[in-house]
Amino acid sequence: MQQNGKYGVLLLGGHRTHQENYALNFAQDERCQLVAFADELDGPSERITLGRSLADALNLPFIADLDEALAREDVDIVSLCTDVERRGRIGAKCAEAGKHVYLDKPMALNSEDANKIVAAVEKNGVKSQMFSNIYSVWARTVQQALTSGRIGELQAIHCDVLFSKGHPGTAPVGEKRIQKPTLERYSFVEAKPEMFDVGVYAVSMVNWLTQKRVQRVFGGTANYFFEEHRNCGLEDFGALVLTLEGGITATLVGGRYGWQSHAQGGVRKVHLIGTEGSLTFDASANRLEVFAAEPAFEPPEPHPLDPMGMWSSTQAGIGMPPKQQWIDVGSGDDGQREFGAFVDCVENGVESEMNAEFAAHSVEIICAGYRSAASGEVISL
Amino acid sequence: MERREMELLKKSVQSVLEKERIGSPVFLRCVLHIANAGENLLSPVAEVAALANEWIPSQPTHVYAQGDAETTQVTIMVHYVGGQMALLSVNRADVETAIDIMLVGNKGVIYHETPIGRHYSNAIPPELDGSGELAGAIAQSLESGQPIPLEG
Repeated sequence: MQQNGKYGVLLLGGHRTHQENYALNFAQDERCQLVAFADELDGPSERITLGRSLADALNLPFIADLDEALAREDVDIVSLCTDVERRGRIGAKCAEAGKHVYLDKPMALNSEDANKIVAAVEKNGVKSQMFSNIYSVWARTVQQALTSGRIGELQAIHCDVLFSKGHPGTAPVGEKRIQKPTLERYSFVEAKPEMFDVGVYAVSMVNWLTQKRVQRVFGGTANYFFEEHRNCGLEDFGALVLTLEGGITATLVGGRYGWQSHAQGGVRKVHLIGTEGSLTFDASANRLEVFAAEPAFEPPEPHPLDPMGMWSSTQAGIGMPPKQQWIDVGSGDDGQREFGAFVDCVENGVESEMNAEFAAHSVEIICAGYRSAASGEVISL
Repeated sequence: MERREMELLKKSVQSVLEKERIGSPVFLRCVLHIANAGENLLSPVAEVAALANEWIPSQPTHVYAQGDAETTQVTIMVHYVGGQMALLSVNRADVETAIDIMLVGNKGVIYHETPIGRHYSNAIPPELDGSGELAGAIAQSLESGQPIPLEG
């Protein structure tokens, strides 16, 4: 802990990672103090360069040797936003060093890597949390409705999370995607596997709301919108049908579908179907709708290093215009709620509702979804 | 009148599709809540499948179904020759029939929910037209728990 009594936060990952946002969220928590950036000595040179540049931008030191950074007693928490391929190894190393670990989503490339983190976290008694939507006002509203018993016994849950970013219409129409059963590479400049990257929000939301394990997975992936994804061999869209404990049906949609496909950042919706009734929750429902004599939203010119609009820095660099027609009411501090919840867990010695063990099930489900999409078969977990 | 409402919805969707405003339809998400459903949900599920088959410009190849047609809900996933998909869910509702649609094209999206609230008190909930598709395969998938290939 810092001499001033604050939790020291070590930051892994740099520009063009979610650390651009996470670092600021930790900095805004008065219980935390940013200590430094770091990376592995033999980390990818481009990643190290991007780490150094974000460290410079935030006026923080960059420690070239992760082991040296983890040995520091003034580091209590590691915010882990390295490329997904390295998260299993590095996450486990941070936990082994006795540091609490905040994990970008998804926490790992596959179940094997996720389980490395889970085992190290458990062995060393540190706290962990994967980024998700479960601490948002919207998610808490759904949870309250579900636990209130208003709909009786849950029979089915349907969750859609889509990102309205990217310039669609460049992928060939009517071309069935050939899915590989395992994902070998996640990180590309121009694309990510969107059933994983966006779908993890929907999967983790269903897991958290139901508190039920998934037993069977059936799914499909597609290249509906972007030639960038197709050229990288990655899907831009995925859909899953799950069978939960107790025979509950869950369906999920995750993907990226273009800048103009939604008035805000994309659809986020949950349907709860119960024996006594059903409820629908739209994260954008509590909103102002503004119509004004001002220019309509125009998609930005694609940034060469971020054509899908993934990162804050690149979008700021091209003067990304804000979408202003729908204005959220009451969800403005969801980010602080997410990071504050993790620091609460560290402070109070309690487990996060989205700790590594819980989040690892999301990785397991999505990987099973890829195997199902590849084989056309139902996958049992 | 309810069937007329459904026809109006289909006509509105068709007008958008004809102008290619959303490009080519690639995915349909439909959640239908049916008040006063009959003993079996198979027929309304098949009718929603027919809706998907009408809007998606391809032939269905597989259907996978979950739920219980005689109790609360049935959910199906349909895969098409050209890689398109549909996730369709039909549920019994106590109060009123309602439909929630997200028809995704390769260049845009159509969203529709049965209007609710005081400004829409005259809204008439949709009712399907009784012409279902894939009913046999859906029943087979519900029975076996496996995806069922469809004949081209």
